[in-house]
Amino acid sequence: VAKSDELTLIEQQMLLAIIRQHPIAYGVSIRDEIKARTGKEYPLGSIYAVLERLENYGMVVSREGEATAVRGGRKKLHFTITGAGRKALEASLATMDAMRKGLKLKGAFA
Amino acid sequence: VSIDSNNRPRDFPPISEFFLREIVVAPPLPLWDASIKEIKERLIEGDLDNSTTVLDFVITPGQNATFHIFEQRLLDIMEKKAIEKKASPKTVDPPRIAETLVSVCLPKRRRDAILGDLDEDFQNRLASGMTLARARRLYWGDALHSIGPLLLAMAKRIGLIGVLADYARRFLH
Repeated sequence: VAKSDELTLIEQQMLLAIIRQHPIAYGVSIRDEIKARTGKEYPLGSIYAVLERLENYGMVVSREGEATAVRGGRKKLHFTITGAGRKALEASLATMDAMRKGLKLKGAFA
Repeated sequence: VSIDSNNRPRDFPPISEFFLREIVVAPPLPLWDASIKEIKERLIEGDLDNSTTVLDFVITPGQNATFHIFEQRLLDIMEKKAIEKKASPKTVDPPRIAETLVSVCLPKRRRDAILGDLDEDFQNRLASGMTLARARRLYWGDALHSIGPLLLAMAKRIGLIGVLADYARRFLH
């Protein structure tokens, strides 16, 4: 199991997207949420690889959703964050905030 | 169909897509024939299957009201079908070979979800006006991109299992 402060950027983004779309987050909606907010578009394979990893860590759980005609009759797989996932995300973001605190980035590299 | 004192139908049977079977007209009805023909033409225009439509009750002389109500209900159904047809455009199948490739490469627990997501993207692109050829090319690209990271993750997992198995073998011997 990954330590709480070892979440990668994509893992943080995915967990935040899942929280934003609770309780109906699934592959396409998570990808679209990240793209809309960051401009970065991950391929669905990357999304699912990360989701699988997070699920193995016990940070998210999945459940089957409804099947629709536009999906060729296939069911969606909805993801929700667990308590462990929320705790890991908070710790990870807190680490980043602590590093950023009091630092003026604007003009720092000029 | 029973008719009330005002020559209006009582307990008019509900008309639904499943209920409609065929028009039975009691002869001889030249006037009605013309109307039936007109209805049949409208049915074809409305994209209802002419061979499996219209009613399973008998239209007889004197049931003017019945016929008009029937016609009105028929038009309602046609209108509803036209709205449904507009709301849900006919879906096109994504490239079969790419789909099969994804099916073969992915673990079963993720297969349906990813194929469904790829299909959803494909249909959304077509609905947004993209050409079929371009949508198919993008589907191929997405399919190949989808397989890569998951196969890599699988290889890493198998690799770790291999290292552990090797360690266990050394420990036991």
